[in-house]
Amino acid sequence: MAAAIPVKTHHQRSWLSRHFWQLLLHFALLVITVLFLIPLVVVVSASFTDEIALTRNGYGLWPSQFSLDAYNYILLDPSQILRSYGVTISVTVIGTVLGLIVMSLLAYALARQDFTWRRPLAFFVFFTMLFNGGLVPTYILVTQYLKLRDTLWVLILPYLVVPWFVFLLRTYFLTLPKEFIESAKIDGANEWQIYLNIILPLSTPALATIGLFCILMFWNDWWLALLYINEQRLYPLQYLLFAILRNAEFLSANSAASAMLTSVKVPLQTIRMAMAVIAIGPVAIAFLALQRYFVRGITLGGIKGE
Amino acid sequence: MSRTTKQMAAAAMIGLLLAACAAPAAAPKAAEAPKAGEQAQPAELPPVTITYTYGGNVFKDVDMVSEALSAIAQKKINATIKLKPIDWGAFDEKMKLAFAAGEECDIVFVAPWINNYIQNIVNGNIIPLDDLLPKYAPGLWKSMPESSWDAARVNGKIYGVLNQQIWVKPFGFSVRKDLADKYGLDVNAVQKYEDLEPFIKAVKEGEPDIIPLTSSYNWMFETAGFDPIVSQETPVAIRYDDKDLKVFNAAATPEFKASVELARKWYLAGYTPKDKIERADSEAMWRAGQFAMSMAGVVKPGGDIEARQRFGQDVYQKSVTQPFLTTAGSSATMNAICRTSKNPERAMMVLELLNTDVEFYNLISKGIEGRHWEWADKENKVIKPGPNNADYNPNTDWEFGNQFNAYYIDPEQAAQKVWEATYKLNNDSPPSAALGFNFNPEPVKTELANISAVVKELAEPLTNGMVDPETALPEYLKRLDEAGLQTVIAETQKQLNEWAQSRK
Repeated sequence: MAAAIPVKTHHQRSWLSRHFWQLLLHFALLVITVLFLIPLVVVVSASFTDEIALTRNGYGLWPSQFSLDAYNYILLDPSQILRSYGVTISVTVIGTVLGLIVMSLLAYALARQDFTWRRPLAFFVFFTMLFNGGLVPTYILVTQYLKLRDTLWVLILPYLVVPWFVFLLRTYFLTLPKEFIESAKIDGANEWQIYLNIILPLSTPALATIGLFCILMFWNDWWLALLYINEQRLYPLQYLLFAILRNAEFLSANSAASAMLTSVKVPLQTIRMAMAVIAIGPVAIAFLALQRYFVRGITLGGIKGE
Repeated sequence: MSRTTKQMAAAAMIGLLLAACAAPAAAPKAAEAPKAGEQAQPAELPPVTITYTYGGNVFKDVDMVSEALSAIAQKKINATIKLKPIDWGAFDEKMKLAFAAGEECDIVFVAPWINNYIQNIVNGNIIPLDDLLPKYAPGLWKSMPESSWDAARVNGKIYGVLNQQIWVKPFGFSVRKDLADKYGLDVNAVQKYEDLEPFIKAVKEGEPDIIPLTSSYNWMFETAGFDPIVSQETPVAIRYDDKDLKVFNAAATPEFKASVELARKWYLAGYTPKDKIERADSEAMWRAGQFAMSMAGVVKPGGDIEARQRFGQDVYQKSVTQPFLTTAGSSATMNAICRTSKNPERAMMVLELLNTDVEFYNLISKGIEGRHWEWADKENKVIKPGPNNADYNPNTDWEFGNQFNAYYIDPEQAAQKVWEATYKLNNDSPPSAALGFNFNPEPVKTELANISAVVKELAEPLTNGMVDPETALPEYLKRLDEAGLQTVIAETQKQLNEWAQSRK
């Protein structure tokens, strides 16, 4: 009997000591997860709260008075939101695919030691990282010479090659052993076959990482639309939300204009939240789907592949 | 390595040269002077398209409205109208680029607060209208006395068509009707903000759930009788009735001191929210009925009707300011003609329509009858929203032309004859001694930027009563002088004297 008790405590202690650190770790991670989630939940909850109730009671995890006013205002005309979604999705998909093709081809050429024009070409890419024509000349080039204003392409072409991404890809390609290329050549593969069948399959982590960067870049851009898009049918999502918010905000915030203002009744507070909810949805899903490559892409850079 | 550096340096030089060449390349196009004159009879006018670029929501039905406007304009002046609204948030940026790139445009909205009027004149983006106005827009030209046009004059020339709307700034207070009645406030007896103190005190004691004041901010140049001739932010002013045009530091006056002391007193008494409230929040709190009153707002004819529509509260409003006409107030919204316009004469004729043709003007401001609006009371010119109101509802009458031609959107506006009252208020208000003077900020740009930084940092807590004026006011004055306020005052005085000289 005397022996039975120590055995039991020993057993208990061993379970605890075996799991103690893991429990602590899980608990800490749980707390951090909750801390990350709370703001998101507050935003979603605020977007569904009545404007006046929100002012009275402040923000909470659950709407104090449920209301769809903010969504009603934004979705006044759902066809426009859907159209803008269409624009943004097309731009993101076309831009990312084209961008990856062009940038990986360029980066691969830059990574090949036996390519004669490697240095001048690298300098050409590098130069644009430091210098550009400036806003007005760029604007004149795009609108008057390339005649790209109010086209889908103007939202894609300016971001097709990002020098920084090209160098990231080149650095990754440089880590691939040269022997792959040499042995492929001996087996009779031509340059395209080497690139498509050897290099690209070995580079999925790098491509996925750059692809995710591209997706985020195209999805979040409103600057190009601000400069070059006048027709509402070509508004991308981010710019549409920017315009709705700025137009609602502008007249009430500008003292000169608000002296002349005639009735505007807009649930400004909750609109902001509803917009955030509408805008982050799909890109959050894309991030979840791609994040395993994302993590691998970052860590893989330094490790020699098998 | 050093070879690469040299290559880079050489390339950088070439890049700089290219950039330097690119800017003037656009200039020749923009420099073509418009040909005024050669008046043609309306029937013989060749067909043209006139674009109108302005800030505002881009509505779904904007092309439909363009077509309806064209139907009228084609009959009268053989012009097709193309409306080009640009979102407010992008308006400044897009116009700067469009002008820099020498893009063609005809009519464009300008103001001191967006798409800056003076800047556009200095950059040569808009043309003088002195010859065009009497010739092609006689109705518009005669709709205002010659002295009103002075507000748009820069270096003796008119570059913008003033939109008639509320030009004066009778600042005052708004107070909730139910509370004013409950605590026996005689609104008409209030001559200055201090007179409100007993009422505010009573609300503070009697209504625990209500904050008496949105803020204790009560400073407005106009309330003290000052005309802020440099800008609404810079504390440089003259007294509006001072024929000697003496420029002074408005922050160093007894009036400003009294204003910040009152703000401090009411702040300490707990009549205001503890922290400064963002404008959007404050509007929401108004709607939620958490405030009793606000100060330092424009009290205009029909303002109480608008406040009710906006905040859902019945209010009394009363001005504590002797209104007077200033350059900034009269030129608050204008339309101008671009230098790149191929048809400035026809653009001027369109401006004539916008300012004198009631049907044309209401078409652009309110949309199409039966679709975007319907008659509520045709006799008194009152309208109500139509079935497709959301597809075109700019709600910016003051942007497009003479607002006194606009249909009323509330029967009470018609009952109060708001436009007639506003017109009368504009007309009856004495002009500032500096009406027509437009300050050119170019020579003191650095000082103005420094002053603006000081004002942003120190003026807000001071005028809201959040700091003790005993120490904060001398500090503010010292920092203003260090930022170069005296230089600005001297420059303003110099420009003002030159302007006065040129008018003799």
